[in-house]
Amino acid sequence: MLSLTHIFLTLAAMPLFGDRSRLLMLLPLVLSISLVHKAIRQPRMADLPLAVLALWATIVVGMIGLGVALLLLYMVFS
Amino acid sequence: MTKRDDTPSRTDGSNPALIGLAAWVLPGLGHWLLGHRARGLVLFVAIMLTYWTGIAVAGPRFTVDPKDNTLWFAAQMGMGPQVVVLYVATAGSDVPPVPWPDSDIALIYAGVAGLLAMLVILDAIGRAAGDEPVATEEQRGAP
Repeated sequence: MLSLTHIFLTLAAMPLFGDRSRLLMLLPLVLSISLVHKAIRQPRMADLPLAVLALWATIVVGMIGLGVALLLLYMVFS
Repeated sequence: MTKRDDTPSRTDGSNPALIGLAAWVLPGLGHWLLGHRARGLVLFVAIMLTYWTGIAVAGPRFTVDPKDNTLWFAAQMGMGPQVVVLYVATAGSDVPPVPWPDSDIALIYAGVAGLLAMLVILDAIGRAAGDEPVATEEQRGAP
C-alpha cells in the first residue's frame, strides 16, 4: 500500500514540466481572475482586497487539492 | 458632486449600448463612465496586465493568430480594437516558433483576459440598464 510520504515525495520529484517554475504562472492568472470577479461582484470597493485574497487562496488551494487527488488516482491505478 | 464608487449605479440617461461599446474599446471604461472610477481602474489594470503578459510571453504574431489559434483569437476579441491593431500590424510576418509551455501560457493569458473583458462588458451594460449586482445575505447585513 502506498504511504502518504511516498506519494508526496514522488510529487515533489516529478518533472511535471521541463521547467516546473512555469507552474507559478498560474498564480498571477488566478489573481487576475479573482480581481476581476470580485471587482464586479463586490458592492463596496473597500472590501475588495480581502475578498480577492480569499477567492485567490480558495482557487489555488482547490487546484492543488485537485492535482493531488488526480495524482493519487494515477498512482493507485497505474 | 462626484459619485462615490461604492454607491449603487442609478444610471439615468446612460445608454447601455454606448456603455458596452466603451467597455469593449477599453476594459473598465464603461464602469468609469458610469461613475465607478475605482472599479473601472482596477478592471483596466487587471485585464490589460493579463493580456499583455500573454503577448510578452510569446509575442503578438503567435498569440494573435486567427488562422492557427482561431478560438483563442475569438476569446481575445473581448479586448477590443487593440487586438485588431496587433493582428494588422504583425500579419505580414512569419509566425515564430514558440516552445511549449510558453505557447500555452501566452494563449491562456491572452484568451482569459479577453473572456474577462467580455464579462466586464456585460456587467457595464447591466449597470447602465439599471441592474445591480445581487448582494449576499452577509453583504446586506442580514442576521
